[in-house]
Amino acid sequence: MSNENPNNLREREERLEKDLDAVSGLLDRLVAMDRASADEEFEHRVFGASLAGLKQVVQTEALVSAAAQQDAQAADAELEQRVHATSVERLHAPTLRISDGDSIPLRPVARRSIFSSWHVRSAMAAMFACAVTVGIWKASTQNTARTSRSAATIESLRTHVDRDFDLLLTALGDSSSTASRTADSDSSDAEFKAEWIDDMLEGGASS
Amino acid sequence: MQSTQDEAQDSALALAALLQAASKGDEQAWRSIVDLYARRVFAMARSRLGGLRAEGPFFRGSGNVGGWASGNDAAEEVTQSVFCTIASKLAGGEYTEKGRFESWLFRVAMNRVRDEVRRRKRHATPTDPETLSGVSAAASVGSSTDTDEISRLRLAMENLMDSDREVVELRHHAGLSFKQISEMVDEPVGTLLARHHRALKKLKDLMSETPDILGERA
Repeated sequence: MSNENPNNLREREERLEKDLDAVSGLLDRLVAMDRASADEEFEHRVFGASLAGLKQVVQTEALVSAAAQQDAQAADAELEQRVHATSVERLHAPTLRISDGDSIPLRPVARRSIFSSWHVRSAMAAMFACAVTVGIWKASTQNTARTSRSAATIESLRTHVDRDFDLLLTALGDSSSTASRTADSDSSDAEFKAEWIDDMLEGGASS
Repeated sequence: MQSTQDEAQDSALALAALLQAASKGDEQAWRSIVDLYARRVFAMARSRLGGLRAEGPFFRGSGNVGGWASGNDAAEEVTQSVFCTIASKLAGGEYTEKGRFESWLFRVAMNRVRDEVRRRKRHATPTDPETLSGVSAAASVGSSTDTDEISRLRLAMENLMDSDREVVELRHHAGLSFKQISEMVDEPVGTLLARHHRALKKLKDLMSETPDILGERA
């Protein structure tokens, strides 16, 4: 805690404020000197330099609006010219004579490609897509059918071979029942039947 | 008090009318605006740029030594640039008058001064003896008419922190009120008052320390 006399403290504060006022006053003098250091023509030079910017923007805006107006007038004139030319063309177009002597001017037909129509292009695209889809579907179903046919063919041949093999065994005098056949004989029978089926599929003579 | 308020209101209305006319290209109105503010902007720029050296072939004023310009030339260059910007924005409709023209003007000026200070600090300074002696002879901190006190004050200003120095320059050189400065820098008035007070105290202390330094420079 400070033991300083409050009067001394107050005096110090007042002295500080006085010093700061003096500095502030000195600053104002410095500022006045700086402002005066620019010569008499200073404002004139600043004005001249900045006026160009002021005028340029205003002039540019005026130029832009004038140019826009000119463009609009030119567009109007061009449109008028086109309308005039078209009407003259129609005036001199060939006419169709009908029996009662009246003539009907032929409207000039705009020759446009059939493919320029959006509807035609869409329809053609749809047809193409359908054709591709049908083609893919057909190909896949044929493949499935081919696969199914192959499996059915082999199954049918196997049934056929089994029946014929039994008949063959009977013909050979081997009429032993299934119960008496050994695993080895079953295995050799299966091997023989498989070779027989392969031969039939390849179109070769049965063994 | 009432008359002061009326005067302030009248001057605000007059300024609004001038700005309106200038935005439409009225030369006389624009000249009036330049006359009102050009020297204040110049003084603010001079305070900051007077202690630095400029480089380039464009400075042809007095004190030009080997391309290094005096503070007056640099301050005038900045002032012209500021008013060119203000003019084009006024004419282009980019400014709407709401009673804050001064804050806006000096914000543009302060930014331009800061840019110029940064630009100069980036340039290399000459180190050969001939150029150095020429520079020190021609480009002093202040001008030849400065008193000893004023020279000490200028030197002390260069040693202030940037934020403190800006408040001092806006308050004294630009002549703005603390309310206007607060709008400009977007800080409370109390903060600015405290900063200003601290800056003045610092200047007082620095000035009392600098008489020996100035003796060596003379």
